[in-house]
Amino acid sequence: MTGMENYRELPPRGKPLKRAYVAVMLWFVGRAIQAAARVDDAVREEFAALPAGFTFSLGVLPRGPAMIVGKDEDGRVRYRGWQTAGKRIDLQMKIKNLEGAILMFTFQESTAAATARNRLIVDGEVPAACAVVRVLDRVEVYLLPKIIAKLAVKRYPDRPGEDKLRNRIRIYVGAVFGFR
Amino acid sequence: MSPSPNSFVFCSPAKVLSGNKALENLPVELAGMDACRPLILTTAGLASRGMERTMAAVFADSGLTVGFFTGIPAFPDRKLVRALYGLYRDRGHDSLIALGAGPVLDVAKALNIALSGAPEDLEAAAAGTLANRKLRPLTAIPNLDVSGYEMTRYASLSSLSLTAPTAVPELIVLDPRTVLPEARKTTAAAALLTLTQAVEAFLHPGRNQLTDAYAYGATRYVMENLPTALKHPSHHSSRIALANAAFFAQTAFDNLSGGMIFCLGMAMARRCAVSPGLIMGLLLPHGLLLEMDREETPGRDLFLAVGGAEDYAVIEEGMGIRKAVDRFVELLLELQSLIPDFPRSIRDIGLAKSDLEELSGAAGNVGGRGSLALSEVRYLLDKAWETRF
Repeated sequence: MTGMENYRELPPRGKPLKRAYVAVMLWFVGRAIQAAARVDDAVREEFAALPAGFTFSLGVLPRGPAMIVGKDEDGRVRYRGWQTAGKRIDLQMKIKNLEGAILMFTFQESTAAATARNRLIVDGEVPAACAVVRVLDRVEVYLLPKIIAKLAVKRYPDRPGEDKLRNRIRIYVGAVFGFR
Repeated sequence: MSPSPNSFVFCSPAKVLSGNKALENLPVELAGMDACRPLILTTAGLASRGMERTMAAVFADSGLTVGFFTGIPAFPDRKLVRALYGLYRDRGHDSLIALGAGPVLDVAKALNIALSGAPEDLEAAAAGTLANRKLRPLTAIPNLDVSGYEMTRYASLSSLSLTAPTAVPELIVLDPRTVLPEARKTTAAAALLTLTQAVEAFLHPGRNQLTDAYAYGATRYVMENLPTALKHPSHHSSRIALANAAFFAQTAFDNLSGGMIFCLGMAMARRCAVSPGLIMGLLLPHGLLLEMDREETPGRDLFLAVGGAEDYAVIEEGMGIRKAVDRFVELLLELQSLIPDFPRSIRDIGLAKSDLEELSGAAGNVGGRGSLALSEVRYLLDKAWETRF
């Protein structure tokens, strides 16, 4: 027996729909962070504690998609696209695979749970990574209805903000139209 | 009494990925082992249960092309290893993934020994003289139908029994999609084999805190999850718990020599073609009663694992082994109620009384691991022969 009759090769066929979904979610969340840094005090304070020029990325291994968010020298938070090549990134958060990203972005798993289940690789300072996770949680509270957000965040805040509805509208509008 | 911390060696080189979507981490883990073109080995039976589709999905977004071989038979031989040796080299593979249990891991370990050195190394491994050389990356994705050797240094290939400390899989993945529901009798037999390995690790004179920890985890998982896994085969958590228990127990087993019940069970299974786990389950209560009178037997430690913390807190001094035996008998009776053809005695497995004498000697040859007191073996077999649960 040569063994060849029982052998075949499995080429990587890709998962285009899932990749597209995660790419859209990352794009939207990245722009929502940019908007939330302008309208929400808690997010603003988290970024204020990070050094000027601080940039972080959240992406999926091995080939993306990703989002990059950074702080300008003047302290403004900006979404900087999905291309990591050629950019100086202080903190890289990499989801180990697309299915892990799907669990996170369909809110079956919170960012904290995904971290605890070893779905993320963090390359950078741990305090900064914790700050980014808190920012992501805060943004998800604004973007999602409470019943879903409770699944997506570690702890749903008792008082998510005095102007929650107004902030939510401003963040949605900012994320969709990209106001800076 | 806790085992002495003086002078022990413990080795568990495997990284374990367990739980939902654990398989999806394979590409990243392979990259960490400098591997990008794995060869997956499995059986035709598992391939027909959707494993090819599962593995194709796991690697779909990885950019890696993987080889998928489905021709591992129940009793593999060296001819197959030779064919796979050529296949692996010709197709440019750089690592192995064993998808399945028993013979799949046997072939994967033998092939890995041959590939990492020379095909003649199999003889050295059979003689126990193989040099401690690092082998190629081997990932094991076992299921519930374990043989007791998957995650250890041992493998058997027709007439060859191989031993290579570095053959232990580097990575073990336990995912609900590959730890599939099996027939009730198969699940029960594998779990009883795991339980035997764990319990005998507690009773071994060379036990240490680490083997105790692994044996404790294995025993608790089996006692808590076996009935659920049998009643509700679709219950993911209980299946994954049993698969983890097998890893824990085999790691403890790999660090200690085999116990009497394990060796006897293996020897009897060879003679009468019954799953060794079923036989070990029937022998286990008798084996424990033999240990009861020994001063050094850690009865309370064992009962903590078998009965759990709450019951442990209320047992009287010196009653640990007796209570553990009661629990095992209760478990056997429950298994009998769930599995109609579950054997009630070693008389039900096709043995004749005249076979017992020969078995006493044969048990000493299992795996060439340690020596057994023949009078004790004979006593145990006689007791088991007389008993019907």
